[in-house]
Amino acid sequence: MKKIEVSSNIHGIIVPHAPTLLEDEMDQKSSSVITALQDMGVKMKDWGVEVVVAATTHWQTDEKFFIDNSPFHKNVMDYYGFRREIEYDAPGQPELAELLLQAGQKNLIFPRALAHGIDHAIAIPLHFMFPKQDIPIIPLSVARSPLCAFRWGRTLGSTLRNWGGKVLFMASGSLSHDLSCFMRGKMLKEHEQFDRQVLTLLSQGKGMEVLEMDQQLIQQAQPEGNFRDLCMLLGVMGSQTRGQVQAYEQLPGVGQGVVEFTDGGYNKHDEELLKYYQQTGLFH
Amino acid sequence: MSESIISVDQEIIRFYKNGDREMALKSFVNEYQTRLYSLTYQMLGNHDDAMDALQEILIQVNRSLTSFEGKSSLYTWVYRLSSNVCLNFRKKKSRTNHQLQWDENLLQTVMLPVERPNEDPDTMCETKYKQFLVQQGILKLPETQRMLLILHDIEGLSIPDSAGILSITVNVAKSRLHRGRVALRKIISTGFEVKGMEGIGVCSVGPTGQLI
Repeated sequence: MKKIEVSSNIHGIIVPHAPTLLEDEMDQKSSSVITALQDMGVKMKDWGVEVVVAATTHWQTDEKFFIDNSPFHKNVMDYYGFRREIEYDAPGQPELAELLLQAGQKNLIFPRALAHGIDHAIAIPLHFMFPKQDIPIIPLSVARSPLCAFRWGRTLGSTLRNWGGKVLFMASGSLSHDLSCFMRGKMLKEHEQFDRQVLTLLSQGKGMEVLEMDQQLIQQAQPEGNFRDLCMLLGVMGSQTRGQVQAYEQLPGVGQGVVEFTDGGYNKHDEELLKYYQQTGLFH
Repeated sequence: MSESIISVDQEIIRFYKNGDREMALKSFVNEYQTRLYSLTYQMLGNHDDAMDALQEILIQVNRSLTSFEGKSSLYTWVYRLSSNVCLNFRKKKSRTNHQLQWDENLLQTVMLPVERPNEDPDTMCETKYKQFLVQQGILKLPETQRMLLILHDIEGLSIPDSAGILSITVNVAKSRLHRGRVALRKIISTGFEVKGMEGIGVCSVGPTGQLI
């Protein structure tokens, strides 16, 4: 019988972007987050990734979703007070960005094109993943409600699948993100509790249940994108896709998780279908 | 229906008639998305299908809002349209999807509200577990009964409104609702297996109909 391979053209990843990672690199300090990002970069390069579509929590636009469809993105310097700064410029992918805009229009989400550039939520993780700055990027803003973000994610996922090229969908944001604790260097057990609950739900394929978590805990943790970046990713990857936690580190008030997703739009369902087709010989 | 909902409906229709579809849809989404998502989720049992059905509903609303004659409220009109989309969605899925509906597509959560945050964690957990079982039980009901239970018992619509949405008479609605409740009671009190939860006990129904 003909061998059938089910493969997906989309990988997903949740990444942090604290500039302290750059200081850790400079100080040659051991960091599981840096290692996980570097490993993921190598894996993606080997896979042949063609574009990074990046939802950035440093581009939060309340009313509308925006897409940067520029042919080339310049670095945006938007972090201060750290011992190291980097510049990350990279090509864009205007044709694919245009497809996403059209799909958004067709599905009544009405996204807009706007030049934004590469802020540090994109630059820092990609500095570790793709240091040669040679992978095209499409920055996406994070907007509206988690439900709207999930709807936009479904449209993005379907469009990216139909496009067919190899895509890394990246949601960049911290888990807990209480900057007042960060400034004071104060560790709270609630932040870690929040981070671990989110990571557990993601690893169980129950990502959308983050919206049902204890409201007090959420308010204390102040997740960076209010789960909207996460909902975009879950829309793209499939909400029941299990994430694999590759690394987790905690700074005061800030949870840094690296979670990898392989495409749930195919996995289980298609495996079941294939079993059926193989047994009956209906698949040619 | 409250005056504020009526005025939002009028605003949506005004935007639409003035050719501002984007604003009309935005107002519509702000007003109805959460409730419609709750309906599609109850009907389809998982977030991805629920959102895809909601997307289809929005497209149909956008396409056919011009044909809305105002004979019923926008709310009732949209619910009727949404119920049809969900039914068609399920039919389409069952034709193309050689999987048991009653299997891995079922999420381990419910969208029904859980009291928080001051509630005792044990009570909250128990409540959530019961809600989960009820939702799983509802998903086992025949389509016609399930729809009525969701519209009336969960969404809180009146029997005449629910009957209107499903294009059936009030008497038929009452009868189906009764049969649905009896069936649900039987399903829950007999017990059933949910993948991943084998061996876990089931609730039973007390003399007054409450879950114990």
